[in-house]
Amino acid sequence: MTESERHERFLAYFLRHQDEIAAVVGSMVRDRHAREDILQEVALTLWRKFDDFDEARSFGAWARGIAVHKVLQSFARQKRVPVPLAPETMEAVLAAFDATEGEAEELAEKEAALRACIEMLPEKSRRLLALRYEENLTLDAIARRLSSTLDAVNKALSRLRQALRECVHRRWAEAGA
Amino acid sequence: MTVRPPDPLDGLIEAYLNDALDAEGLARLEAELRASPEAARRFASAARWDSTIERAVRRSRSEQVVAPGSRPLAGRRPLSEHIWGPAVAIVAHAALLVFLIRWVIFPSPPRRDDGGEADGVEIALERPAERTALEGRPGELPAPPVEVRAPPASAAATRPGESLDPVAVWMDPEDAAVSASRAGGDVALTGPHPLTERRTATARAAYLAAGGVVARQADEAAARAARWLAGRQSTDGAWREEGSDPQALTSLALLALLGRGDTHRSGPHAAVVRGALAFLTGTTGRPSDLRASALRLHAMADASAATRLPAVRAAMDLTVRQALSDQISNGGWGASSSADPVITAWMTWGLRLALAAGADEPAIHAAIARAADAMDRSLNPASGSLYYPSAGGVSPLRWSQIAGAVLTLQMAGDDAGTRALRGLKALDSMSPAWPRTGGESAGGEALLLATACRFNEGGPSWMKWYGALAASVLSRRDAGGVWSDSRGVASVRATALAILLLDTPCRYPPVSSWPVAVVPMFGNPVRLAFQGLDAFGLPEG
Repeated sequence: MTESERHERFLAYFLRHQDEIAAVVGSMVRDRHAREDILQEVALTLWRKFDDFDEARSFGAWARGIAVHKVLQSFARQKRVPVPLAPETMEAVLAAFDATEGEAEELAEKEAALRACIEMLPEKSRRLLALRYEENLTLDAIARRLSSTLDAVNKALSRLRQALRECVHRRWAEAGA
Repeated sequence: MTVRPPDPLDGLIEAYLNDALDAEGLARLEAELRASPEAARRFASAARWDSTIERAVRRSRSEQVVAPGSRPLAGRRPLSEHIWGPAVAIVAHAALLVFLIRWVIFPSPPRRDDGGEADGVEIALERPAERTALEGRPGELPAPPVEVRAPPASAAATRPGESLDPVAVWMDPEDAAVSASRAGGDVALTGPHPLTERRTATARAAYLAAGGVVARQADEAAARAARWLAGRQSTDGAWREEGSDPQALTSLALLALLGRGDTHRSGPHAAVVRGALAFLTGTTGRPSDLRASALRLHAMADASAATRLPAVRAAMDLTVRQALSDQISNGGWGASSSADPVITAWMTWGLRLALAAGADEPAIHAAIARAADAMDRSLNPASGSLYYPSAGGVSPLRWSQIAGAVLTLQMAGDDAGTRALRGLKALDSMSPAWPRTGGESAGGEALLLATACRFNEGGPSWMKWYGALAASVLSRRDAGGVWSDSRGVASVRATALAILLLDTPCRYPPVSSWPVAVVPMFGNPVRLAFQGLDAFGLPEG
């Protein structure tokens, strides 16, 4: 395989799995900026070790393993960003991501439906999503911004995620029918 | 819209994803996740959904930036939501408008410390005009007459350096992440040097895929500017511009091209890189001042890692020895007996790069440690402000000097010490804005050093800094896609500086993960990180 073919092959694998890698890292690293740093490190490590990858195995599982290793390494090196989960818990979570790998591809296909569902949300709900996911505000900050309470914002976000999940399922089922 | 009845585990997971889980709740969640694979699967599923929503929200936002007019995720922030209330918000906006009219649209000429009038943008990689005699270098030779040569007719034309021998390899095959093999007298490299691996097409593509709109705009602007820069090279491989030392300017331009991933053999400007290397390796005279020497050291170390050419390695070793001999007794570099934090930062940065690129001069470790000690002594741990050792007073100095001191500490591995952290905190009040005529922004050199500090720090500070920096730098391009000097003339120096700033995320990894070629076995006073290498300098595992 030439170097350029190797590049293309790696990119094809990486682009297909990058969202899933982001989800794994995101479940363990809550700070978005630290997460983006780690994702960049993961991408480089995957490329550096691509020769070691056995194509008979799952790229996703291989990449997720390296991503979790990078998370652990990163926290050992940069103690200023706290890691909420213990290493044994991270192992259990990694195993769960491996066991539900099929869900990732399904979600990728549903992203367009999700965006349509977000567009249909009332203004207040879209504003809440923007504050949380776009501006990356803490719940405290959102509560202050909206003159609400932390508990109310927590519940509202949870309900919003659930409502979006149901909306996507509904649209998906309708499209299938 | 139906809502599922609340489940205790779901409640814990949702609170975790909202960062609203207390210590007790986290302990309960962790116990559940470890004990029950089903609980872990529900957690994975919720985390995946959370990540998908975040991606969808951010992608929707990016598309709105590209295609204005579509329905925004959140409407304009209502006036009533302003933190101080509508009345204060109106007054604040009015005051801002007056400020803009007075200081930005019709600014008065800024005053220099010496009472003279400054005229233009401060993008100074030479000694800034306002530096005092204290920092001047006694006996400095006047700059040689400037000879601006016409750029070559074609980039494909034969250039100096075409004959550089790419055969030999100086780096041990055992070096981390790099292996080399000889095939028919040539060297086939099977991996980039750890110092330059972020510049590969694959790494850059991965970065751009994850980096969003700003990253892509910055990359496109830097690529366009690099083409302009390449076209301005003289026929002997140097870049020349009035007021600049040719070795310093050529080093700066070469660094910008190498940072884009060009080498002597690959990339759109390979011939230009060869020409620059031939000029720098073939020039025997020393640069006109210490800052130019430091830039040359920086360029030679970077080029050594990127090209692995023996001639470049030899030039790097020579500049390393010169730098070591220039170090003054108090541990830094500078005029007379005083360490200048800016020059010390350039020198230490260059030496640390050389160490990562393979320099095996044992004295480098001690030199970096002594420089860090000198800067350590001069930073006030309470405020992070710098006290110039020979000034005898306690006046806080300019951003470039604080950034220089912090960068020196980072290069020595002391990035988490009280003084380095205080220094970073002091830099929090510096704006990452491209120098503006008559503005209060820092100079170009301060911007470059502070950007390196922020990048090495990483995390939220870096992300915030880079976003604002890229926006400011991009907004100051001229119609030709390049950057101008204080007279409004397109400038090699300003354009190379802008490319270096925009490419910061892809030039090197943070210094904490730079390798070293040689690790002193005993009594090493420098706190360096050896990611990828064990204590004996061999690859881990």
